Amino acid sequence: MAAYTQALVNGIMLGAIYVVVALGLTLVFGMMHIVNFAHGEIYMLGAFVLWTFQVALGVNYFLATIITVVVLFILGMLLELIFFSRFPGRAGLFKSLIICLGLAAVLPNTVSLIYSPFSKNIPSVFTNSLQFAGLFVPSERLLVILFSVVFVGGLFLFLKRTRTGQAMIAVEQDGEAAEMQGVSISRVRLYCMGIGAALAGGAASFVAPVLGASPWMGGDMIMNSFNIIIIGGMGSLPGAVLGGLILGLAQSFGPMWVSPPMVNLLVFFMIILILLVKPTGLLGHA
Amino acid sequence: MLKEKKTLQFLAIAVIVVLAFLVPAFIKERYLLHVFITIFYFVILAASLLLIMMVGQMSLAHAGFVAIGAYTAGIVTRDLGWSLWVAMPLAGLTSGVIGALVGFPTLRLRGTYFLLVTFAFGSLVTLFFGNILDNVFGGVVGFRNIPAPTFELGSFKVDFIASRVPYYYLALVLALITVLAMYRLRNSRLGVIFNSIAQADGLAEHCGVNLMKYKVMAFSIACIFPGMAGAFYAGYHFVVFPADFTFKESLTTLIQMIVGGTGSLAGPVVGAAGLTIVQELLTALPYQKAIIFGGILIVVVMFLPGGLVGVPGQVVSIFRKFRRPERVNVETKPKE
Amino acid sequence: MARRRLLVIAAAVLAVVMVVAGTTCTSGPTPTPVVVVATPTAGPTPTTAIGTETLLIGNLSILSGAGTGYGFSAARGVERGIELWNDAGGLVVGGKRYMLKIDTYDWGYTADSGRTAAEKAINDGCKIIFGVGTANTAGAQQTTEPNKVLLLAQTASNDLVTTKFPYTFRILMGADGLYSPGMDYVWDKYPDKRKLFVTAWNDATGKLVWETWKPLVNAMGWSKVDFQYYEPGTTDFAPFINSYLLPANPDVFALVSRTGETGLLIKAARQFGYKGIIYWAAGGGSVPELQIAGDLAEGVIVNQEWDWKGQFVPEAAKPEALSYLSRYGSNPTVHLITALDGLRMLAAAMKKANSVDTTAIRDTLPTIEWDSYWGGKGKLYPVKDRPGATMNFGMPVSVCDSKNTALVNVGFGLPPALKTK
Repeated sequence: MAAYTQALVNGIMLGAIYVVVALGLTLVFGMMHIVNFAHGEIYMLGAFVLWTFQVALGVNYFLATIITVVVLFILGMLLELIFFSRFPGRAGLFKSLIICLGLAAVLPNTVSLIYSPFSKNIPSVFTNSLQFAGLFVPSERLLVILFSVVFVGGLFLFLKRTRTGQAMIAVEQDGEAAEMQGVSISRVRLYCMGIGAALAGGAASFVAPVLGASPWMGGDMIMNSFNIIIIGGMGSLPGAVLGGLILGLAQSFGPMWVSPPMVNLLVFFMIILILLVKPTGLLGHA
Repeated sequence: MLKEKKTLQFLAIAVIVVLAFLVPAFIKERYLLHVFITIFYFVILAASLLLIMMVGQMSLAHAGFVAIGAYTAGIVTRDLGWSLWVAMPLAGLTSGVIGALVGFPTLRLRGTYFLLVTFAFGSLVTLFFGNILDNVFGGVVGFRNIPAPTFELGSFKVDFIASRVPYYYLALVLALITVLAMYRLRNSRLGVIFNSIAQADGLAEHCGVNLMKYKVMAFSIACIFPGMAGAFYAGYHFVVFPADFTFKESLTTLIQMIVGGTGSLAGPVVGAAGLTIVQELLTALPYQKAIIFGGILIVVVMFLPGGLVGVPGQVVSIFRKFRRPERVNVETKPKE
Repeated sequence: MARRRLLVIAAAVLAVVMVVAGTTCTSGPTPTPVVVVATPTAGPTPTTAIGTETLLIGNLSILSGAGTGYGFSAARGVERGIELWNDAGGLVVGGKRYMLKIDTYDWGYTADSGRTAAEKAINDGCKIIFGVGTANTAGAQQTTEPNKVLLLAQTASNDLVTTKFPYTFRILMGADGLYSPGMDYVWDKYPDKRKLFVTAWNDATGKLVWETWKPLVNAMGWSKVDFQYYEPGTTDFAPFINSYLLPANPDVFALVSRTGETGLLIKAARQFGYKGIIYWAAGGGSVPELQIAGDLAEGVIVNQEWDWKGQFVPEAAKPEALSYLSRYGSNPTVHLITALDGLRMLAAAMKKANSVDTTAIRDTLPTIEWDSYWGGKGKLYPVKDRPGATMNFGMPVSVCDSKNTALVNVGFGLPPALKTK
């Protein structure tokens, strides 16, 4: 029984990480129609920005986290300004896809040349494990859940309560109508890309102390993130939360019954089954 | 005028094909022949992928279908002991049938949704060959010891091991068959229907086109060719690893097609050839290869809107602007 | 427009900060070109006018993607070996002086890319190729064997150096020899710990490596051996630890795992309450890896990784390893020294064969001895039915120190082939 409870706790912790990364991906897809294959690499860059400030420059962890989020926000806006603003809408889907793939090739290999191909350690603030009733809950992972809740809550509040957030939702629902109401699409896109990247950077800054920073960490994360938004429904924010938790729990409970390679296989099998029953994903709409 | 242009085009293509057949007479180096063979292999994949795009869809499972073809051919030639010439159509057939089975339930999905289903399916195929029935497929350590193809016609015998030239012609013929088939499809009644689906599927449906039927048909036909390419891969490399067919390989094909240009059949061909050559040239810079390749992709997409095949047109239009500066004021307003 | 410019400037400043931080803290992993003096003053200067020829040596390594941890050490090992060769004034064979030139390619991690890179190197004129990896070696063999090109591979698999591939030699030990010294150390030091759990990663390399080592592990006489593959690319090992390691409750947890994943495995095992011994068999490039686990890596026993300044390190290997450390800022893996030793082996074989013909070298290789970087005479050992196919050397075993994740060499194990003598 303890093993199952432990698996439940682990699954939630894993899901918490996935949710924040996938939220950025689904936000960018829903509003900008960009299949951002570079999202994982932006997440990886976040970890190295954190490392630069926290380890190399000796900034306090919490301050470094804030810096990372701000830096990644700016980076996201720059990517939009330089690249994606040229290929708006569904018509630019494939062009922006190639840009993302180009970035996905450039970024990790550049980081590997500059920072060495090995993983970098980012010291955790808490290193102990809490123990009760045979359960182990590492404190740093509790911090991950806490951060994740703050980020997800913050994002939903921002979208619900601010003018910019409402404008973003309007664009997601119907771009042309929103534009006629006086919403500046280019501005919304700018914020959207910035927030997407900032979410990835935020996720990186609380995941990196737990899992380290490696130039190749983006590739694994992007696979999982795509799986999540397929499960939850592309472009759907609640879907990303649901999908992240489902994937986290599946990867946590799966190994208890089948071998780890089979877990991956079954996850993809599950995805295809879900899509056959509900083609737009669990919470998605066409 | 139009007819003249067409004859000219036809002549140019004929010259290129004849030259392609003459290449082994001038080039003897095994490596250069290998590069040509790789180009033909990618031409098969990229050209067939364009067919899926013709019905307004995009697939990330192409490498998965190559794997299906490669493993089919591997089992047929190694374990059943049949010839590769039987295995190759069989591999294409298997791949096409599986394509239809996959396409039937999933082609209801549009655009990006379908893209991601094929992504999931492609990954599933790789994981399947890596982890299921290890004693049949060899598992992650690969399917090995695939025999080399043989060809005998009376006293005429082709040695596939001593020289790479037979492989060159095999790949060239396969690529030509693919391109020709795609060309005929595009210019047939079927092609017109496919095109109408891509342009406005709602309208096409109103006009009595059975959307699902034609989409599944296009997808299934497009999957036959990677299956045959897979059979070629097995007969050429003699080893097949699941890791050779991950969705990254599908992305390579997709990149080649888009960078080449999706407006015509020449696009995938030029893209496959151009990017393969770039990849080979970049091996001279091993530490920076991936970075430069990524940079090239970005530059091409940013500055060559028509893809690689659009370059001559772009050059001509720049030239015209210089010739007639007075027209610049009228024409340079961006369309968007 | 002004805001846009501000953004670009801010980004540029940040990029500079990041690059500077990255390069100063690792003292630059970018390969610094070393000037090779044409007529070395230290080495023997050519006295008589004998013809000089340049041999091209292929250097195929994993230089992009997840395998770079091993790839960089191996590639730079060959680079350094060639530098030393030329600094010594080349090698006189058959009345001709042979200098070496390097031809480095990234051959990735798959069979397909391995073959393409090998084709390219052979086309450039390489008759001798150094390579790292298993799947890519298998791919490259499809073209090196028919072309009679010598492939000196650093692969831990036994299947790739059988009689079917007469031009392929292994300059590494097989996994059986490579992973056993540390295992023997654990076995001797903890006589009451007899329950073992092993994990290896699930791809071509991981599987071939484990299958090569498995018979030896089973023959040791553990009271219980559990095994489970993990999926390469996993970042969170909590589910794995919870589902397999903790239920098995072993005394010894043996890891056949890659860099990038091992630190996370160790960290998760300790965080979720595993108290037993942890033994990392495939410990190449372990210092940054152990740092991921930080304090939790206390007392981990590391095989195949060395504190190059500590005891037991072969004297011949020490200066090269230390110069690598100061030049690139990271602890070199065992692949650096094996590559250097491979070049010494090659020189000895060329000398004895008195030829640079690959078939002649191939026939000579099993019969020669050379001054090994591992100490004493180097020699090739048999694999299965093929005599003289693989190197076989002793390995130090390190124990990880907890405070600053430093390595301390605690023992030196002998490979099985040497032990029987």
